[in-house]
Amino acid sequence: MWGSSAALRIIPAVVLLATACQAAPTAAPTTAPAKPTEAPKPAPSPAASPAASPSPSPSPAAKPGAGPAASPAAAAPVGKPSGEPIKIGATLSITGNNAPLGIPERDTLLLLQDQINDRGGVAGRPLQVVILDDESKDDAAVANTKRLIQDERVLGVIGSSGSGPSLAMIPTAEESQTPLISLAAAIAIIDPPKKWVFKTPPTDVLFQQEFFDAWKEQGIKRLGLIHDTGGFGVTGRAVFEKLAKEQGFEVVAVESYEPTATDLKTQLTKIEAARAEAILNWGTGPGPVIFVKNARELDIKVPIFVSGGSVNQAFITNAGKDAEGVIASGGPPVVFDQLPEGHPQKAISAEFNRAYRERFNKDIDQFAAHAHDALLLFTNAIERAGPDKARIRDEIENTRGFVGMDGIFNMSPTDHLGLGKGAVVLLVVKDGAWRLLK
Amino acid sequence: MEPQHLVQFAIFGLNIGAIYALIALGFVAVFSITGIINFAQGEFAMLGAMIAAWLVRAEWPLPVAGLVAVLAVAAVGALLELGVIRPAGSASIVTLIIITIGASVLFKGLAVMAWGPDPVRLPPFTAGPPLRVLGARLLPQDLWVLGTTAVVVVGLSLFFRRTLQGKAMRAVAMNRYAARLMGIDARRTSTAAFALAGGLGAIGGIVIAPSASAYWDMGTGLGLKGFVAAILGGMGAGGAVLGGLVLGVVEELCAGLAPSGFGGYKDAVAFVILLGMLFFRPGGFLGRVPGRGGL
Repeated sequence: MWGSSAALRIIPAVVLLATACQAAPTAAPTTAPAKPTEAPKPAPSPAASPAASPSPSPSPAAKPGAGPAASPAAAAPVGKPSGEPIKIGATLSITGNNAPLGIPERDTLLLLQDQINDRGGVAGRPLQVVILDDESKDDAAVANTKRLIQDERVLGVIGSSGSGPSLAMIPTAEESQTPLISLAAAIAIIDPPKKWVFKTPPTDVLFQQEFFDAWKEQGIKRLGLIHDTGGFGVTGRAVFEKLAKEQGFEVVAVESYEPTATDLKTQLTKIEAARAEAILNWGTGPGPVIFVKNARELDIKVPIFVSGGSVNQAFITNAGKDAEGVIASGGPPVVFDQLPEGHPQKAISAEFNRAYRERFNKDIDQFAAHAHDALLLFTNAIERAGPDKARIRDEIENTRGFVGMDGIFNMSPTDHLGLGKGAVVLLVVKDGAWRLLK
Repeated sequence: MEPQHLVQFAIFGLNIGAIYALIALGFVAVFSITGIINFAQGEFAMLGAMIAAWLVRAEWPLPVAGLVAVLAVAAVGALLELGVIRPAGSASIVTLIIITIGASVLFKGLAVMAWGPDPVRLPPFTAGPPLRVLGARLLPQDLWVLGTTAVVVVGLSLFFRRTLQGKAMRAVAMNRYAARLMGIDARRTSTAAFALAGGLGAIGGIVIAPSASAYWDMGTGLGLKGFVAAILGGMGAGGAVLGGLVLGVVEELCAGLAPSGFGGYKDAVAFVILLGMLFFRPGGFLGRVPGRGGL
């Protein structure tokens, strides 16, 4: 019975590369050198459209190696991947509240899959990423995880985009002994460490610590928090209260709202009445935009802060000039072009962005970075371990010095994230764009 | 907590309550004429807000965009009745209600496809700093919300009492069979009720969009609250307006006065009120006969 209902909610993005790879080498070399810049692009609209049920199937023309050709890996002659595909599963929130996260994540996995296959696949075999949509819902994420493990027989699962669904997926991954790499922020996903569970985004502790450091510097003592009642918001509240207590801040107001709330003015009035000197919003979906608008409507003068979940262009577009001056903490990939030369995340982000922009006609964001690093953690581990779930898990845990877009990963049995403080930077909206806050 | 904060919460409550009232009126119009609870009512609000925001982004003047959006959603309502409800006419009321749930899911899906998952911005109708009333802030947009609702309610009441079409709708609501014997086309009246519900929902969605953001899922919460307001009012038009305002004020006062962190339970407040009402006063606080609507 669940099969039919699952079929409805699933957006199958199964991309079979075996056929595409056979067509590519014959056509590409003759045309590509003549007009390298005019490589035909696939229409960007299907990828940009969230409801694009059939995923953009990669046409051979779209991947003549022009994008990744700059990378040393692609310059070397590579063999064509052959044999049974290596299957990695992903359940992403392509629709629902977390769609702004899930869509760039899906696009990234599709692009990176093609790039990896162009470079010879994984251990000589073609890589196949099976992507399902969980509509930002916990139960759908669990059902997808089971389907990926039992029906698709994947070697590992990536996802989900949000903390609630990710936390819900953990028991399934642990019971089936399948490595899981989450793309969500909550520290509860990896603390306490679980044998089979890893993640790539910096934790909410890392994200929030940046704020606390800034508040300390500015002499701000009285803090107000407004969070949504989803998984991300609730775990963020616990982190906030813990960090504030440990570091001697006074939390004068903590308010909450449902993810479907349309108005936060009452809660903001209470926070303002408690004379908070800084107000932090911790939530996903449209909540942060409503928060910013309501705060400006009420003419609240104290500085306002939002979580890394809002660090994208959509936030600025939707909040308009109300977004000016809002401060967030986010990963370096968002502002990769503003990073100093030689920053470890600058080159890798810039290079991936070139191909990403060419294919999807938009720039990368941190969600793209999370998905990018998760898939590479898997493929790097599989190169070393072979197609064996237990050994893949061991190799992910043994990852040291892996330079991803989110940062440099040093995993260990007690640290299934492996990122340090440098993985988060403070950002501010200025003149309609996210800028590095010096 | 100081006195001006009470005034402030009441203003916020009246404001959101006015939106609930508009949506509740849509529920009442459809229920009174057809006996159907239209669970796509919240999506009418969403469609109104999205269409208006989209037209404004395409640099249409706001009044034109708003009017076009209201008319477009009224047309959507009429088409829903003509295209889906009427062909299924002999089906039971429960089936028809389930059809409206399907329509709600369809509208949400179409909205995501057409406008994407992110909120679409609709600027406030008039810019300007908040006014001060008894120490509380009154935003220009609040005046628009309250003013628009007042105009709609008065206009609707005149429509039902002074115009032939309005009187015909009331007649069908009172007694469909007798109305038909008097030569009233009851089927056309059903279409008109859905169109009216579409228009009312759209107005609610458009006036709230500047402070709340227009996005594909905004109708879910608004629709549920509008439904609660309509039940509070005993599914009558006057009661629905009162129900909406009371619900809004109670919600905001609870969120405002309750201990910190209670704002995340506004929905719970609404449904506790709903359950209490259904247990102890099923006809709504105006004491109507349960199960009968009225315009």
